[in-house]
Amino acid sequence: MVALITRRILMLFPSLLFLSMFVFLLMHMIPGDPAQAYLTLSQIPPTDEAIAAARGELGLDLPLYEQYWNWLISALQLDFGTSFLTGERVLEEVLYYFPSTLQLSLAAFLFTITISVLIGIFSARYQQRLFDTFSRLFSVGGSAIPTFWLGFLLVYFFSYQLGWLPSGGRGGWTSLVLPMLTLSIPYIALFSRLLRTSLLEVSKASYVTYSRARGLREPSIFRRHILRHALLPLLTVSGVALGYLLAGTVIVESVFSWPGMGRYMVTAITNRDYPVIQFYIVFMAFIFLIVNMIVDLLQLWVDPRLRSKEGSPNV
Amino acid sequence: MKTSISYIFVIATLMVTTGCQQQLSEAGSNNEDSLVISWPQDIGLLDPHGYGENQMFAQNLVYESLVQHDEEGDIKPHLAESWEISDDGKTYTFFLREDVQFSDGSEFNAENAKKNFDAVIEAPEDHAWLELANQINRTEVIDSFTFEITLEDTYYPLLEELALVRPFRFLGEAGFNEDQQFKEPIGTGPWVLHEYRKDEEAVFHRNDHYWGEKPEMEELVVRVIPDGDARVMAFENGEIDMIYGSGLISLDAFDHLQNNENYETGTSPPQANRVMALNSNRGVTEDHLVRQALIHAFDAHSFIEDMLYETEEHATSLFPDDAPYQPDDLDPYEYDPLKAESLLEEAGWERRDDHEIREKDGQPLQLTFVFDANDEIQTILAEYMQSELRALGVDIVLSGVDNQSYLDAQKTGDFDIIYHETWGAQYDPHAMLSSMRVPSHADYQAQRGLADKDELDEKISQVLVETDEQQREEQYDDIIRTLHDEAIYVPISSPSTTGMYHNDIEGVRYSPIPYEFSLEHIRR
Repeated sequence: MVALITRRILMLFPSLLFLSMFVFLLMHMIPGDPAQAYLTLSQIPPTDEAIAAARGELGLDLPLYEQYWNWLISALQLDFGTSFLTGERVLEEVLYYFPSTLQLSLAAFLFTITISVLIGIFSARYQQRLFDTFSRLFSVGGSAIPTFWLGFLLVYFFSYQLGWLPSGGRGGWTSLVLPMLTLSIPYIALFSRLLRTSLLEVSKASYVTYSRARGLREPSIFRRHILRHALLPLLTVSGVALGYLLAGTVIVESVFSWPGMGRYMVTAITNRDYPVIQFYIVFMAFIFLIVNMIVDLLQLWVDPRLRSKEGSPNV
Repeated sequence: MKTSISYIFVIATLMVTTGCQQQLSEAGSNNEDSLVISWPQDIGLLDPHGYGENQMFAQNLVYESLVQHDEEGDIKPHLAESWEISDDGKTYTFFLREDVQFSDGSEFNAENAKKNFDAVIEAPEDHAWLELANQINRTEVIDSFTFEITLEDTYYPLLEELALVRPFRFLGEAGFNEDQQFKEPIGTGPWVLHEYRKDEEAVFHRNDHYWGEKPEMEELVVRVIPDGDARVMAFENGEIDMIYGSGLISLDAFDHLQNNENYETGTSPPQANRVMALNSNRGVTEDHLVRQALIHAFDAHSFIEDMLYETEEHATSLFPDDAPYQPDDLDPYEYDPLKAESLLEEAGWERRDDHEIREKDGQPLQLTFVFDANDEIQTILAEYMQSELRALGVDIVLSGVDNQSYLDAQKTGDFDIIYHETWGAQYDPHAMLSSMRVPSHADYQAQRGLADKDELDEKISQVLVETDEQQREEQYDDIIRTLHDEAIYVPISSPSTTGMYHNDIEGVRYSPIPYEFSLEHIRR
């Protein structure tokens, strides 16, 4: 187990190195000039001299490999450069924006898991009954609805019509509710269905029948044998979902004026703010890899059968 | 295992809910003495000499200039009560107001004026775009309230450029750090930054030391709301009092709000012009007749009525009619599809009976229109143009790209038609014309095919340093007339600052200068 964890951690480095190189190349291949973007945003007329001066200042006149090498050397010392746009250190800016995104994503994640498990269990238990039909409708609707539209719908009802919650901004806990719901609903729709199917499958498994034959009480069978196994696929997808939630808050942050990483990143992309884009992608990749690793380890912990395959790199 | 998982949940939930203890200020329509507006971006650091994230409207709330434009666009005294110009036109002596204090109570005087000017001219790379920054040779304190600037050459737009929102504005002594760089916003303007949370909101208070007419409202809150629809929701919900600026909401939303009796709307005088530039250096538009035909084929009035809900005025030439040195006797290209058709025929583009698109020597009449697809108005304009010209047998290929690629096309000249805008009241025409000589601009690329382009550039270079007013007027007339006659630009409309507010609000005024928001007279 320890060897496995060490190997997984060591694997992070080449992945991140390769990724950062790839992103660097890709960014410089798309059309658009960060120097010009900077000038336009500053309402500075982009004369040739101004562009040349800005390029020199931003270090964009160096050959590409040199730019990457400089980036890599500083990145290894945890210096991810300064934003072309604001002149602030990228790391500091990320530390400013990341907590809001983390807060929103974690809230949405916890809410998603809690509600999905409840809906999943109820619709499995009351299979083909009214609740199940209702949850199926919800599931189809919830996963098909575009996020930004869902956001506006929620604002329209809860904020504009009923006046219960603020329509945007990051204030008290009330301002968290609507963006959290907007982020969660599509995932709840998906996860509750997934858990339902998985519960129904597991309850037909032979070891469940065997435990019944052994005369174990039904609630105990459900908790120890059915639910525990049925949660495994949910664990896998929820790990990925947390990553997606962290990286995918862009639209929600914009609709709810939530000052987070998503908006920071979108501004960076439209302005070709290379240091920010570069760091963001590597940083998000890092989080994805970490989350995936944790999910894998959790799986091993939950389902001891998997441990026998410990040596395989797919675990 | 179950208990440890529950612990993780409890801790995470606590983290999530305690993370949002920060309370937004209780400002809003329920506070009588507070005006809440919104802006798509954070206001930035509020460095008076800074660009980038620093939002011009916010800099203008806090800092002031020596001179200002009045409502007619003429220069009038502001922090400088009067000025004298030496006979050779190279030395300007400013006599400063003696009753001006910074928001921290310190005095504004010639020493401070020199310090701020020097801060600007000592960073030439930052301000090279502004010719004045390159022209200033020396600054001098004559006495406590007399300040002198000496120029390299005579440069007539000096006063115009001093009136700009940046960079020639004044930061108080305590606003500089030890390295004489910007530290914190201390200005002489009507507002003071009181509270600031990056990307959330900025709260300004009335500057009690202000020398001029103080704002009616005690507080001005600027909420950061990046999305236009979210802004409309917040407005209708009463969370913000006013939407003020240009292009902040979609035109559909504007129409919706305008038709609601609970709200008032208004617009500023035109501030710049939207145009389409035709490439005289490429393909079909090389032909003067075709360019003329395209201008006659565009029905700007219908476009403004149907697509812009009449929020903008009709433009008849490259520069707005009230721009300085704009000739008032230019023959406007009226909308005249028949004339457009006959011009196209004359140019040899014929429509065969069985073909919808005109042809010449077997080539179809096809034009590429480059625009920024993220800009709603540019997009509807391109689509409108495409459908209008289809009827005349012209095939327009839409090339909607992201902003950066759009700028790239401007630079390379890779377009037949491109969306374009003039630079606005303080820059038109001198700064815009000046840029036409530079190859990285759409104007240069579009004009490149003209036989007398070199001569035109030469004339522009001359007019910028011409000292005789009469001569200058004639030269400008000649340049603007040439561009008009050569049919390089299709004039569309003049955008302006739009205000939408709840009808308990009074005293909303509009400036002819973009980003100069007049919010001082607003009351409830």
